[in-house]
Amino acid sequence: MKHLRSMRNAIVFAGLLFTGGADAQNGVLVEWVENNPFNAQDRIALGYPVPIPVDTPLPFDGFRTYAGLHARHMDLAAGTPWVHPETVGNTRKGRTLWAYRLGTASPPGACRKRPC
Amino acid sequence: MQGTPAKRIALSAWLMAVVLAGAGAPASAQERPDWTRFSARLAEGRVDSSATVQTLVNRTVSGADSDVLSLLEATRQRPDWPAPARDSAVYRFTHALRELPAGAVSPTIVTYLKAYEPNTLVPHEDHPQGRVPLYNVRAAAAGLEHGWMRQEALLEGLALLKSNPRGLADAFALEGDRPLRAGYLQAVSQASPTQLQGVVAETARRLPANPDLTPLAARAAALAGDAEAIVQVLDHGAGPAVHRMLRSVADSADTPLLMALLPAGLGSANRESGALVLAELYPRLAGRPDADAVLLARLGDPDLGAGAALALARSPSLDTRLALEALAATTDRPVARRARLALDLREQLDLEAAP
Repeated sequence: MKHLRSMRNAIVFAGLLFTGGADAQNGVLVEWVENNPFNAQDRIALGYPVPIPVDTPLPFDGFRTYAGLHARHMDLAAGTPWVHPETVGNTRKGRTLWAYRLGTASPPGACRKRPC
Repeated sequence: MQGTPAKRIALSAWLMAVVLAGAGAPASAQERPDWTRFSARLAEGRVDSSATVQTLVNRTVSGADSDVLSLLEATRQRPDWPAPARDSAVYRFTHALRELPAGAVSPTIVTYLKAYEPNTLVPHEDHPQGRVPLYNVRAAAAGLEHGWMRQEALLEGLALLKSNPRGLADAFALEGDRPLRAGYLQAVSQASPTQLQGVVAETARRLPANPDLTPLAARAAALAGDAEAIVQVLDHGAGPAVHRMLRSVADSADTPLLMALLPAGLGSANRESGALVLAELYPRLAGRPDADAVLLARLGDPDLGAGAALALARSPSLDTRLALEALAATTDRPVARRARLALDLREQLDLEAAP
């Protein structure tokens, strides 16, 4: 479990450094870490704990995963009259692309002037 | 604007002279080639600077500060080396100093490195219009200093743990520098169980009035696996250390401790902590009937209900799915809404997981 989590963190926080020109085609994968005592070339030491995204909808002192933010948006849409989700397409991997209209509940394209 | 032809000719000649002089002037900016990382690395590879770096280190160790400074400046300006090789040598020297204790390196050398003017600028990875040093010697020098401060605080923290473990809380509270605080936290990681209990007791007592102690209290509580201290941090702690504590607890705690912390954390007056407990501790318990029941009971919570729905969407339990479907059909609107949200999220997660 511990190893799996470390591996997941390493993957999530691996930064792909594109270096322009020919280097861009040979991206260098580096891992961000708090300390790098042995000066490993494939690690970048931040000097502070590496921020990890958290799977939660509620805002907190950190940043959230996509799933957490999506749950938050959907919860706001279901619980308030001001947030209106719409699907606007799919990613190449088949995931839904969401857009959110904020404001009144008039449908897209509806006349917003009175009288219509 | 009106002038005699002679005046106009004189003005034109003067302007032309200024322009030509400017074009011919070897302004430093114009001399700098437009390096890419690739071309800079190629140029750097044409020179072996290892001997120079070793000489710099040896002279630093022997205390020949003025020699080191002269050689550093000579290296920075060395005309027979391409600019990236010069910066690389100074950068590698800076890194090599990490192996030495703080007292072995003269402050004048560190001051020189912290003010080092890079020869080679390359396009920023994300914003190619902006140029950044290929070798950021100043940042490396700052990191060097921070590493020494951290080490110094580690030693001080270890000494405090031996003589007066509770004094560590005082030292931590008084110190605002992050490297020093990091050193104290490192010391706590090396504390004996008895010393750890001293720190846990002191930080738990002081945390309600002094949330600035959260990183120390959180680290000590997680290492001790002390449920009461962990809940104290959940209730009164603030900042990213709370999340780090929960992640550490999720990695190391046994199931009974996690089951004890789940309802306690969700019941905390600190709503952020409750959300973090859901995100970090529940995945270890997902699918257990008792854990899922705790979350099902939280679906109507205005702050934590959406988090409970997201967590339950990942429960592998069929019974939980059936319970969600039953709740989605009830007339309790907030609960029904979150149960529906959990089922929708579950469907989306299943779709995403499908090959």
